[in-house]
Amino acid sequence: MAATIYLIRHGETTWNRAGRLQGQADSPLTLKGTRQIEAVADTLRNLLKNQNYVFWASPIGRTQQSASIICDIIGTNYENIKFDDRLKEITLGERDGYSSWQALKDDYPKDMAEREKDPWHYQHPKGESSQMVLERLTPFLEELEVLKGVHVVVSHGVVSKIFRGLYLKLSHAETFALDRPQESFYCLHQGNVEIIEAISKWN
Amino acid sequence: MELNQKIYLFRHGETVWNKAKRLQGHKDTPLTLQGVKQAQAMGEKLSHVLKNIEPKFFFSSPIGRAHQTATIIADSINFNTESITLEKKLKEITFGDWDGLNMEEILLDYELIWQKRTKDKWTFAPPNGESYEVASARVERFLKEIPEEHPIIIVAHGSINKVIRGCWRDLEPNEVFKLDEPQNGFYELTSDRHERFIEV
Repeated sequence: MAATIYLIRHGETTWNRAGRLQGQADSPLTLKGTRQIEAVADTLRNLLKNQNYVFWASPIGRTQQSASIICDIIGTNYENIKFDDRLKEITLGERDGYSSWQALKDDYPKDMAEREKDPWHYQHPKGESSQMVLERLTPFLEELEVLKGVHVVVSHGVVSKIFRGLYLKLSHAETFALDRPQESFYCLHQGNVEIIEAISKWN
Repeated sequence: MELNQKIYLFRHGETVWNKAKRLQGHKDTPLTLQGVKQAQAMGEKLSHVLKNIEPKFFFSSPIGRAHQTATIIADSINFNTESITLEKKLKEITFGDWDGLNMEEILLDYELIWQKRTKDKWTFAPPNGESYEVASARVERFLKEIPEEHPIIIVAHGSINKVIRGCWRDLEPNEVFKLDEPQNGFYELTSDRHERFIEV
């Protein structure tokens, strides 16, 4: 547990606001989303001070945009970011971009009943299960622990939950129950997960 | 055409590749912090210009940097982002194989082709790219299609916006190339075929 990991979710997107399921589909940050990330980055800059760090991000549009804003605020080059496919959001396959969770329940009651039996291992058609996401995050976390030092990781809501669940060795149910805020972020250090509130100038 | 039609024409905010002086074309990079601030400031300025008038139509190029800028501007004037129309004809002129390169890299690999460009910049197309002439035809089709209602918001790109202003004002090709590509303000196009720059 030698690494210090700052785990950040992208800012609010238009589909987050509309309740639409994104998965590996994408939509732009809202005005609020840009300000959330500015606040997160302002807070992060104070924590990083003059430490060296490695900057990782998911290569999906909303995390690229969030990472670009963070880079400029904490003072590093966008070219230094390591984009890593293992940090992509869980994909719902054919259901990426679906209008809402409720619409999925209405339109595919059988599939959703199937999901209820074992949500951790359930895959939407051509999609990923939480277990599959865990399996791609496990070697990523191991890599950071080997590298040691400070790491900034910009990723997604479900990935953030599974990553923290993995780090804290939580049960599947406990992992599902975690939150995925956009106005604060997490510091993973020495086996503990601490939430850090971003101070927004726009409240 | 209504006598007082107004179109507000925006370029996306600064991107990572704008800063690195790389051609983007149909490729894309995210807005920098400065680009986000430019989009926020342009949205704020537009809200003062429009006062409480609701745009009739809001068009954006579907390319990421334009759609991101359009979303920030729409939020700034309380326009429903779901009602933004993504319009392919507003995509940036593509430089084809040169998309993503900087000037040094183009001259290194394509110097002879680059020299050809100086003979007739209007009809020249880079390998697998688009000429200004071809782009101008799609812009003309777009401008004919848009409704004669106002105000209309358009968010697009540096080169294609020059072509839009050229078509609107009936400019000669050599005049189009002289137009600017600002990111710190936007153009108001009026039905008397004039334009006015509104700086933030």
